[in-house]
Amino acid sequence: MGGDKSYNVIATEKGVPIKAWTKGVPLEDQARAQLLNVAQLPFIFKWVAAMPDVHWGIGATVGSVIPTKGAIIPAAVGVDIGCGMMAVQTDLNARDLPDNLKPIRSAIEKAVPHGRTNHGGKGDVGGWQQIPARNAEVWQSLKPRYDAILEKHPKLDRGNHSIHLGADARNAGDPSLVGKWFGWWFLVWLVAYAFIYALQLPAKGTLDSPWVRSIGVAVVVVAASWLILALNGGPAVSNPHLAISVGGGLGLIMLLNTWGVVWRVQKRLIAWSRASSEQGTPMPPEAERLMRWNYLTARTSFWLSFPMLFFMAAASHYPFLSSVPR
Amino acid sequence: MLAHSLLLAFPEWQPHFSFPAGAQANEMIVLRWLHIIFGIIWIGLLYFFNLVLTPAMKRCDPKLKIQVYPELMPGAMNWFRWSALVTVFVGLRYYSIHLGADARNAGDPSLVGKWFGWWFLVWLVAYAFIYALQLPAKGTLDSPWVRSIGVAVVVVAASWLILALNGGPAVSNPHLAISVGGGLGLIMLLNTWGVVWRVQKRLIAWSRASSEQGTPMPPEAERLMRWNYLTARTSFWLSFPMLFFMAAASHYPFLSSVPR
Repeated sequence: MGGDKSYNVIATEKGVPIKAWTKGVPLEDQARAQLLNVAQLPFIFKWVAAMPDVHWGIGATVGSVIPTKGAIIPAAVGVDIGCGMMAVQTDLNARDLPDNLKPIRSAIEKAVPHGRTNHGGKGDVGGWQQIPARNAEVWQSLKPRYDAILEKHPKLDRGNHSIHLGADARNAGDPSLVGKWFGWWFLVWLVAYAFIYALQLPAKGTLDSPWVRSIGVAVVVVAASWLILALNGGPAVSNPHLAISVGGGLGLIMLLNTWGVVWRVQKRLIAWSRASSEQGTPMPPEAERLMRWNYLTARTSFWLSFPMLFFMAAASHYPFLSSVPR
Repeated sequence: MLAHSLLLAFPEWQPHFSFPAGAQANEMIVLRWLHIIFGIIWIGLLYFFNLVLTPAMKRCDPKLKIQVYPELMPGAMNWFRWSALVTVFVGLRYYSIHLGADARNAGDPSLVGKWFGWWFLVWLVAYAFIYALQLPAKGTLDSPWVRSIGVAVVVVAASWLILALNGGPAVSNPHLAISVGGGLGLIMLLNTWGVVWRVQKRLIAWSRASSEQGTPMPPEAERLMRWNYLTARTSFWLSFPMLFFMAAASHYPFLSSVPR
């Protein structure tokens, strides 16, 4: 530990030392473990530094400074949105601040661009709504270089800006979207079910071919999935939302099959077979058609369960529909 | 008007796919998918046996039961025991990926072997007790209270032990949650192959002989059916904490604040 210095020094066995400006502030074990891991990486230059706001973070320690040899780390913290933090020493003391910090926060939020409009979609003007002339002017000089970067790396254009001020940072939202998203989801899958219902009915000739049925159901499912992803997708829409829009849609179809076909058929088959077993009544002629209908429906649900489970698992574990996690 | 609103609704007309890069992310989603599919086949049949088949068979005419049994059970047992094996093997691979990541974070790759060894040992010893508690017995030992409390004590003790042995600052929640959930899964696998299948293959053969040649069921059949019932019922109850810990692995970090 450093003597009179303003920082502590944590020595590591294999790596570089850690300079931690943590005198009088806690350094949690998990953050310490993360820093020790970083300090042992082969490309660290001289030391790793930890600022007073140091704490454990996903993927990298918040408040760490990582100088490197021959490697660039553009954003070890905030890898998704490129967020940053700066400690600025002012001449203010805690006693100079009011008890309620809300007006200060509001003033900072007014001065610093944050948040978004249009759910981060096209035409997002950010929390400022109208960009001050001075900033717009500076931006004009930066824009050509920004566009050049975007041309090479289009995925960088996420337009997600936020300010970390405590754990209070909330995403701007429009609650009415819930209704719109849910409405589209229900409508798309209900229409899809109308087609699937028809494709499962007992039939004759070409319509009874397993190929026609399978390809038909597959086309309907792919089209409905595509449609709901196009309708509800957007830069602010998360992977769980989109994955469940597909997986849950398949689940809805399976539920409609369960109550709308399987149970309707089975309750009749159960009654007929009970009567047949107890009173010797023969099974009615339509029993065979119903059994076929039940078989076709149960088989469709069986196959639909595999993509359904994939999308359900992908919701939290495989962000391929959106890079917005939850 | 409709065309206009549709156009507004379709800013780009197509979804955006961006598949995670790296072999491991892709391997892990395939492992999860297989684990869930085969797990549903396995546990779905277990629930079918406990919730539907056992009560239905009790009501069934004994003659009919002996006719149905050799038709129904061989297929059910094939899916049941092989899906159990696939579920656990796939799960072990998934578990080993988490162990590997934790060991790398802790800076000592040899920890994988130590963690896995403790896990296997703790749950194997736990199974010895659970196996005994599931055996058909007489007197106090046959009381459902003795059995239930006994199994609960063993499971809580084994869970506590593995969390204490394998826990640590670099150990993630998925690792610890699966150490418990996967331990319960291992017990259920051992029940599937070590009791249920051993018993069922005999019951299937006897009921087939009885149905085809009229041979009466041997006297030990009743004891075996009781053993099978007790074992299947234990697995049925163990499946609930098992599923909780499996879901908690990625979604409820209450055993460690180190996520994956």
